[in-house]
Amino acid sequence: MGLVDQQRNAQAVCLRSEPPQQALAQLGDRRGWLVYREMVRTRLRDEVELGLRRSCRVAGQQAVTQTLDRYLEQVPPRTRLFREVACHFGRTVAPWWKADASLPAYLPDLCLYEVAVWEVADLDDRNHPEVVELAFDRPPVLSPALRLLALGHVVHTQPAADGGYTAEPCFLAVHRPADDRMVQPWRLNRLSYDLLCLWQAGGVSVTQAVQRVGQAHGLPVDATFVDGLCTVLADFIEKGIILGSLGAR
Amino acid sequence: MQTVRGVGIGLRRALAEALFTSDAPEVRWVEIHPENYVSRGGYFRTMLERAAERWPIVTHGLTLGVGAVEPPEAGYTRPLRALLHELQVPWHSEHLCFSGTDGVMLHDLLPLPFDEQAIDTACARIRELRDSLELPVAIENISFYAHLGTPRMSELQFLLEVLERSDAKLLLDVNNVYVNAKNHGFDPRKYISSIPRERVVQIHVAGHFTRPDGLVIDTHGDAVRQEVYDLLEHTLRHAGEVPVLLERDQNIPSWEQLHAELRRLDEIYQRATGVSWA
Repeated sequence: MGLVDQQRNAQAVCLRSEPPQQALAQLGDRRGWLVYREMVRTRLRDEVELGLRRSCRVAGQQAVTQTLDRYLEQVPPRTRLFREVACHFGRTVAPWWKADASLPAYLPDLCLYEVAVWEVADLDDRNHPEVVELAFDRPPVLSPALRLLALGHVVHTQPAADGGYTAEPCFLAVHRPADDRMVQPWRLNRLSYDLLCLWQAGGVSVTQAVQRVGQAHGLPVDATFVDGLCTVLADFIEKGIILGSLGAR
Repeated sequence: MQTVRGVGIGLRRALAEALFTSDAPEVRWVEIHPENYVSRGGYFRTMLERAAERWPIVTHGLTLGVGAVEPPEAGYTRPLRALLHELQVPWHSEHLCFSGTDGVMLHDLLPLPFDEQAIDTACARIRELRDSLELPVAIENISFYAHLGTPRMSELQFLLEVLERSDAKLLLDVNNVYVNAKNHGFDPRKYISSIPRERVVQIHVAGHFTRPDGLVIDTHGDAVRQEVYDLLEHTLRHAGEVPVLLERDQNIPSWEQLHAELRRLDEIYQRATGVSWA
């Protein structure tokens, strides 16, 4: 057996929900390889439970075990960056949890929210394009430490007495200000969320985004709208969500 | 290029603040796992910058095990190289192991078969890594709890062949030698005495624990045992003035306890190498 087949056997023992007996037999050291299986799975589970603490608590030990079994067998982590494992797991399993009627309906949203918080804490905000003072005819530059979420439950707040979360549309900017380790969620209205999504995608000026979003929502871009927009922009600038406008190259 | 001497400690979030605010002259350098810092902002970046202002930094990778069948992707080695050159590290180390195949990453250090094919693979990966990082590359001997297939040679022979054929440096993990000696039944002092001293650029020490079934596990979560201190002294007398790192990744004790371990390592270092900081 060649090196790659030996490594595939070892990997299968570590990742399959039940260790394949043929692979174990070919590896030749049953006890030792089951030790590796336990080490690999424990390390990954600990990381997931650290990054998605609230979600795992809501899901419960049994559901987490079953989900992790499926995750490791079907879509195991491929990232070298250990910190990304919890995010990969969360994004992968949120649709699985959504399809599972035995789990709370808010769990997928809670999971995606925790993924965003975990990820934003580490996003590298040093490398962004050159910025100048915000101008309406230029694309704005958003903080790189920002994730935008459109959820169906208000999961960024404390849970209700029964442990659940209010079911209603909830748009969030999950952001880490420069020189601050604390990640903060800001609740947005639908318009602000749509504007930030357009600006985060890039290449769209303030004016262009306002026209597109106004049109999409059937709203006239009149003096009232512009007044409201200026207030929102000032707030985003103060929070460090908008850094300025893209400088001329 | 930074000069690294004496005793260092692994920079970990859980002990960083205590380390930064302590007065511990025994700490002469720190080691980081670059995967924890590549393309990362926030607190970890701040922590790294604070450490780099104060100590030389050495990098020790966790995921580029040189026994991998697939070469590492440039999407990782490019930012890794940039980080290592920014930090002016004197060398970069990885493990003589594999951590997954077919693009999967198990985030653990799995043993290689002790055979010719694995030697050839490891040597190829080491050369590629040295070329892409433009730095000397050291490999670490891992603790292993199982053989991958039937061994064709001893672990020591396997290690020496890889070192010789790839012209790599060695990060000699003394605790791993001890753990392997216990689990696989060999004399750890003979093992260490067989290693060409000119290959050794760095030493690791850590704690371990023994399971109820007798298997000894390298945990990085326990205090360094007396047997490992003794083996370290033997190693330093053999290898000479090689920097020594205390690894503590889990179950982090009070700073006072860690500091006591660092002081003890420094005493051994000075006694065994004849270096005096006074």
